[in-house]
Amino acid sequence: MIIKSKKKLANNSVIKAFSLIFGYAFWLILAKNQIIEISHNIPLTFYLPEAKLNLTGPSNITVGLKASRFDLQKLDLKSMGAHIDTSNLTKPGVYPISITSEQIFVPNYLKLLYYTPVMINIEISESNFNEQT
Amino acid sequence: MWYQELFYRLAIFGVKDVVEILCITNAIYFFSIWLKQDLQKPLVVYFYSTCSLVILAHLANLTTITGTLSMLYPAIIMLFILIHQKSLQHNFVTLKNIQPAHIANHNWLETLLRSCIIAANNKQQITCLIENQDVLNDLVTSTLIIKAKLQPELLDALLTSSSYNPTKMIWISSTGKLIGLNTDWININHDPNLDNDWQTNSLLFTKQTDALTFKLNPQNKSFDIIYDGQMLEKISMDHAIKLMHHHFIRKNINPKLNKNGKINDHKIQKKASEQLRN
Repeated sequence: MIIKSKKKLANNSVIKAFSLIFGYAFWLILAKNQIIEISHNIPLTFYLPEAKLNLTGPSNITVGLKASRFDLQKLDLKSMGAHIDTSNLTKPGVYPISITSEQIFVPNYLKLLYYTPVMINIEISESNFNEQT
Repeated sequence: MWYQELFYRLAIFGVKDVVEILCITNAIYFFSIWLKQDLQKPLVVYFYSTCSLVILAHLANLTTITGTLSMLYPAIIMLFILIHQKSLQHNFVTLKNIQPAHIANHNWLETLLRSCIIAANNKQQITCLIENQDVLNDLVTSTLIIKAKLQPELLDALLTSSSYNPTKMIWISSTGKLIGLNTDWININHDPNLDNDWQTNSLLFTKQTDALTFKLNPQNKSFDIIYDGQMLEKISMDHAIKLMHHHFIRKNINPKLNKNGKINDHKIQKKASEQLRN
């Protein structure tokens, strides 16, 4: 059995594949507790109760996150987002809105370092269609 | 995007991570290629088994085994390097006790006696210690270690130099090497006031070793020779040459035999020298 394995391993391609697997595995073992910082775009959503109003604004904001590599690995990217309540905006116009960290939803094990932009302009207009941007 | 999701799942968050992984991969790859060159043992299989063991222990969250293996991993790598065929071959060559080509100086006795006669003509007393198979390093002290091939010019120059002390011995080996000047037997007298007497010590030490020592008297050009614990006084030049030839040639025919015809045993010699000191 060892001789057969030795013959298979004599092939350089097999050795390359194993080296990559072991290289990645060892790197992950060594680096899993490293604290790292990443930046990620998360979707920006608005709560607008009036169906006849149309809202125009940025669709994403960039957030900086800090956590261990292990925690970031298990992060579900789709679970993150920023929600802004615009239910009090009932008249058409352009409104500057400040984003706060409370409006950004990230898992508890991540530390929110920064987000950008901090201030956004949203435009509310009347529309005949039920559409939201 | 799908690849971003994939990289997140693999915990790869940047180019630096990719570079690090490639470095480790390269190191493992070249080490595996090197291990593959061992045709006697399947070292690559053993190496991959060890790697798998570490990874499985980590995945199974066996913290003690993971920690132990992590600590031992450098030693394991060194073990692979040591048992590699090429390393073993390399060590075999380098660790072999290489004896340098021995250039026998057959005329050393004639050279020595010639220089002694010249010194005697200059009214200079010569005392000489000739080491044979038994190593005398523990039994003598020398203020001037030379370790050079015995040559007439060298010996003449040393005997006429100011650094030579005529009351001390010239230390020579039976292979024709001048080991040292101003040599004395170690002082075994427990009373520090007593002088380190050449004759007494020579009788004592030559009894235990196969060394020979002689003194050339400049007045009558005769030799006092001490070997095997006995002293021959006022020996003529011809007799001295014959005796020394016989003494050293007989020993050197079979270098493993000592003066008693027994096999040389350095442990016994060391024990004897320790006994002498005590």
